[in-house]
Amino acid sequence: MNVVVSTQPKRKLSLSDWLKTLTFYELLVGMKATLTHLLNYKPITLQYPHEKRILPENYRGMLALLRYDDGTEKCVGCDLCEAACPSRVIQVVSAEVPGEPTKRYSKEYYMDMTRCLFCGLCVAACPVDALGMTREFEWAVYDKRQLHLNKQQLLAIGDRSFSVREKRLELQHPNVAFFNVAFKNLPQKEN
Amino acid sequence: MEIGLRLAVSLAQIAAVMGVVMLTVMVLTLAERKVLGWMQDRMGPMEVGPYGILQPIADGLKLFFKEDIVPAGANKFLFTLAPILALVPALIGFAVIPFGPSLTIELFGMQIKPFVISDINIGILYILAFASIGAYGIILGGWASNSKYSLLGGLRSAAQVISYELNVGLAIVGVILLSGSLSLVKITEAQAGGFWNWFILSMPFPQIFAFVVYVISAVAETNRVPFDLPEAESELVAGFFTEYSGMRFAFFFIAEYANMILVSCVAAALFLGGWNAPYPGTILEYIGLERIAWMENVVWFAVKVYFFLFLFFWLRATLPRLRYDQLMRFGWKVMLPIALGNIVLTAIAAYFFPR
Repeated sequence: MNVVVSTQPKRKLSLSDWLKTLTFYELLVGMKATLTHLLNYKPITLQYPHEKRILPENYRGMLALLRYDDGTEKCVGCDLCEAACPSRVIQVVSAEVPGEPTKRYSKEYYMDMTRCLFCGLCVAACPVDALGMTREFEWAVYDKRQLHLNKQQLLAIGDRSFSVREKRLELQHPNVAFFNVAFKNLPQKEN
Repeated sequence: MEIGLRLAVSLAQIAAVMGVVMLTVMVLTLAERKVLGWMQDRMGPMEVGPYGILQPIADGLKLFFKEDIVPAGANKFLFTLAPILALVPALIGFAVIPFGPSLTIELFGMQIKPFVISDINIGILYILAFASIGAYGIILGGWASNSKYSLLGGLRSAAQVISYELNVGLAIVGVILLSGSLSLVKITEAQAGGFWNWFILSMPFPQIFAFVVYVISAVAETNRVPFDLPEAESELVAGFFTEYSGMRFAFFFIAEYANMILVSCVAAALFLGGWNAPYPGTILEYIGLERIAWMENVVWFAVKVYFFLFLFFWLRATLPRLRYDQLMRFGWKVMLPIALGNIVLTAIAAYFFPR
């Protein structure tokens, strides 16, 4: 048995090293650090339900369906959001607007928010800017089926979050900004 | 009649001490979380009551109403016995602690010592003996749970017991040599008359090394950070009480804090002069209030005990946990020689310079 045991070279302890070991110097340094934090007590805690942090400008919160100023839904049922979604949150049932064969809308629109990861790809994909991300984040529920949202619920979220409905025109992509103008004479779509 | 009266007075004394200890445990559970929070730039509990001061009551209520689960395959008898075995020794040790001066009062024609329940002449041995039984509660609780984490916690506790218990005993021997008594009341009285007579500083041989060894061993004895190996929440879920819930868990919890108070009381009584003020006599006596001079003594005792309790929190906020081979090496190769050397030197000093 030729086992080579590599021992650490024995370092010679100087007098100050001995003194430090005997007086628990390193422990005392650590204890001084904790005591200074106790004496200069400045907590960084935010008492969450009572005080809330300021959200950043581009915060990506709960998704919502939007309307034009006159109350008509923006969604044209193109399914692009469904295609863009990486988590398969969105399910769109598209249909013709009754009596107007050239126009389509989403007859049904479902979102399974239990899977959503709030990437915002659906919002980016929407050609008519019908989807928006609100600043809501307190969506904890006891029953996760309450997170399966239908079109009415999503529109309601949009209604309460965006009192001013239009995205500012200068923030929109020039190619789609043209479409995002309300058609005043368009009748209310029925579901 | 005489017996019944004596029993009633004793029971009242025990109830008073238990009440104070339980109240201190409640305060400690909150104080620990608060102090720990403040040291880590947090706030600690803030929700229940103003600044969270009702948190211990909420915790107690929660534990009281929780479901009491006995895991499948557990040894029911030992599983039930273990929390009691941990709690009773922790509480029973307070019987010999002197909380204040040993004055006697006349009540119904009996001599009563109000500040010590029973002054038995082997007080410190009694405390050491019961502290060792407390470790059985932890080991048996870990074994009876039928869970690998609990078993590992119990094993670690067994490994820990043999590393600290000897050092506690040997560290105390120096004090016993100097005072010439095992009774805590006599040991405390031997340190009267100013802080230079406390055994931590007293001539002929200051017990400062024994004090350090005792404090380190006491931290190990109470299973506190940095020696919380049986508990080790980052490695063993909750160690020996992983499977415990409800009141059984509360028993272990109270036992831990009661043990902290007990070892703090012993440390204060043995090394820091117990209820003696750091100056000769008491201020209240000098200004002519001999009748309430005991108040000052009791306050000094409380101050010393709370200093040690704060030290426990302070260490917990600062230090990481040791491995148990490190603890055993430290216990056997560092603390044991120091304690033995202290005994030899103290004996020589006490022989040549008798007090």
